[in-house]
Amino acid sequence: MNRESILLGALLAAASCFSQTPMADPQVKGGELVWFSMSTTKEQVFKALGPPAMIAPFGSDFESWQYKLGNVDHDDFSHQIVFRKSNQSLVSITRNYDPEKTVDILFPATIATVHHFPNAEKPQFSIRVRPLADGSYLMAMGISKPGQVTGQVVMMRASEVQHFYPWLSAQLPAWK
Amino acid sequence: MFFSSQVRTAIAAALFTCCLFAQTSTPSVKLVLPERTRLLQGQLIDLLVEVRNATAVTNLKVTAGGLDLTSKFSAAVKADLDCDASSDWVLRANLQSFDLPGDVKLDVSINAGGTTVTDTRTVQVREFTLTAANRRNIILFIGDGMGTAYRDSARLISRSIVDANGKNSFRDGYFDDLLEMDKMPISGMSMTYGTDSIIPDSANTGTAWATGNKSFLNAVNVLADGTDCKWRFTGLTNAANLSFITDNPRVENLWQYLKRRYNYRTGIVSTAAITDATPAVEGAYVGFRQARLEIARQYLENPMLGGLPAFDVILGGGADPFTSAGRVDKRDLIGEFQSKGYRYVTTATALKAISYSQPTLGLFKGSASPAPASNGIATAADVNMDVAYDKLLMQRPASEPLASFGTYNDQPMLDLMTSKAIEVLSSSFGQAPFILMVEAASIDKQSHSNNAAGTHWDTIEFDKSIGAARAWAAKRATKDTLIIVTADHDQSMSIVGVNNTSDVEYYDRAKTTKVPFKTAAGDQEFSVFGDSFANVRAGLPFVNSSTTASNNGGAAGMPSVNTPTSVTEDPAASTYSTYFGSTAYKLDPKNGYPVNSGAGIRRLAVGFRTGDHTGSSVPITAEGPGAFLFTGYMDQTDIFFKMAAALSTDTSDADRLVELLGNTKFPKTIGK
Repeated sequence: MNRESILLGALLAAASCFSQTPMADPQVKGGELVWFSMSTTKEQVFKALGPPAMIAPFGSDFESWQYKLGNVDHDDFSHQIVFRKSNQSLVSITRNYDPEKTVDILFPATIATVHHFPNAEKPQFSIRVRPLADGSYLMAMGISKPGQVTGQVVMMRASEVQHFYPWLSAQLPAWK
Repeated sequence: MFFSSQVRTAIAAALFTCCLFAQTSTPSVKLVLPERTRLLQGQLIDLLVEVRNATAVTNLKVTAGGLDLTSKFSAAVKADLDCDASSDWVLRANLQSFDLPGDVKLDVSINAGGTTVTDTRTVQVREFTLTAANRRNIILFIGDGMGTAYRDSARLISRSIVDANGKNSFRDGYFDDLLEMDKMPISGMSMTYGTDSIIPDSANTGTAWATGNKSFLNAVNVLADGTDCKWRFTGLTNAANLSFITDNPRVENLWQYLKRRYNYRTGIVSTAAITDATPAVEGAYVGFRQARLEIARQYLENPMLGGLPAFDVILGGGADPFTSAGRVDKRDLIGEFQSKGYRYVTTATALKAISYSQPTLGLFKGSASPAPASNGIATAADVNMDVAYDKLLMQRPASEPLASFGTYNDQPMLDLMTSKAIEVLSSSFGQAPFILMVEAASIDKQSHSNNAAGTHWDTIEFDKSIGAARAWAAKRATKDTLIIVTADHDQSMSIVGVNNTSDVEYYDRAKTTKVPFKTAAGDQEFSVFGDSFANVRAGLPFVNSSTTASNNGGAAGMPSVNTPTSVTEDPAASTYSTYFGSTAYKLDPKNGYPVNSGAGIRRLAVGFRTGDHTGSSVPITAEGPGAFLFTGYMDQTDIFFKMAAALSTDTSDADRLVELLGNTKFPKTIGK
């Protein structure tokens, strides 16, 4: 079990004791990213964030848990957490921010890379990406440089990126 | 042979993954149309054929009522439908239509990886013909979220006016004068369910009445398709997924249909940001309502009109997506509208000065520093116009936010916007008829935040704009204008009584009582202000431990179990209780609106169960030629076909029947 998993487990265990929802946002503690991981179960999400405002099935094998935590527009969600229905595995966690904010602390320059859609020559959209040890990517949407604000941070299982961002999947190294 | 638990897990995972992604499912083909697709003659729609689980596709054949449409379709394009990694294909025939009325059977067959697969749909095509002698105007009023309680609250406040002699215009349960929307002779109810939820939003409800077809939450005039999995429910709604947000089958709305085929003049008026969902359904086609930059572009370059502008009149808030600073592509859409002959106005003063038929773009609110959002499809801020209560410079009750005009301190009221839109649209040299949508957006928006006063006065403002349209139509020599008033969906407010909280308490922002309670998610706390009994906010237990008020039974009479632990938990003494009795307001003669203060006021008390939309049906009222069509319970999609029928059929017999309702031999509602 790696250090991130230990930190996650400790935080999840403590979550129910806290008056707020400490897992709502990715955090950095002791230089480590502390949030959910790809091994997080539905039960752990439920324990950390409570019951979702809505559960929606979609695609052929997906289920989305949608939350309205904190300051969020009435037609938006603070969190959208996607599971595969067939094996209950976590696919992605989307955290929306309104207002947008800087997330530089989550993307150390030595680790993070920047990717452009459709390409670097004529970028229409950029994503900062941080590979995580559990086989997932942490992504900050719409930003390419430190200091920029984003409205969305996404953690996604590496093997699922091809479905949602095929162009990004082609740019990322094969996950091992 | 024995394996460690880790190896066994790995093998199981590998086998599972194999099963999950291998091309094991049988090929299938789907015509991407709902089971109950209804269209008008000549109404444009994108026809999509989705083929799943096929390594290759050949030999497409599509027929409609026996007519071969195959040549209309593009070559097959590889796709990842349902995000399941199977080999899928999409074939498109954009902007097709069916010229003859009746049930049209669509058949598709295709060879999918060596197997011929088929699908079929039956589309109901309704007749639509328009003669030069039968060219009528339509004004559709949408009170966003305006369910029955909202109409009732506007009536109870604006029609319970106490005059200088103390006489209330609401006496013994009767009103001297009902609302403008009450006076319309025909009424019905509209069911608002979406394809994916009984609780709809303004986008898919707008799609229903604008196109005649239902769709999913957030959809603007498009149908669901197999690539929605890439962004819907994942939250991945951004520029990198825009192609999947804009590839859904589009269904032409009535505004473009009438403009394209019959040269109708078209308009939208809204107190929202003008790219918000309700105005968007008259002029744009996207899968996600927050794709504001694309919606603004489609107003200028409409896909149904060959790239021409969608509207002759656009009046509302939300300037940001039209500015170069607010757009990713840095286009100056305001300047581009102006170069196409539009005048541009930004204040009530300038709007009052306009006249005649020149196309008009009026954007009356924006942010101080427009900028694109990081998602690349919207602006950082969606700035709605300020609500009527604030535009009237009335003091907000303690629990509601203070006005924030910024530099936009000369915003028009909705009745002025309505009158000017009608004036511009009706004064074309060719005497072209028009279709106009007028939206009071903040009835809903103020309800989301449980701002009762903001909600009430916006509904009253809305009714005044209906009055302006009714007065204009009544003066016409030819009764050629159908006026319809309805809501896109219901909201969660209910009327719970009246209260006589003093102004001192009602407006005191410094005096609050904290109400703590414990939940599974942690301890929470509400701030309760002195206006609480005029506005029972969502989530707040109706705490009232008094047993002296006439209409409550203390804690035992409260919903659920909210037992006060001491009387000090009650934020108010019994003088704040909700009473029986009638509302009573004074009128501000300067602007014709009720005043929300003063001695003797008895305010309406309302409660918000959630502050969100509900699945309840909404009322609809109508007046003018074809109005009789809007009686009874109907589906929201019927509004589209009823508007079309009012234009294209001879309604004179029924119109005479409606006139009979005004005959004195039939009972007449007092105040109507």
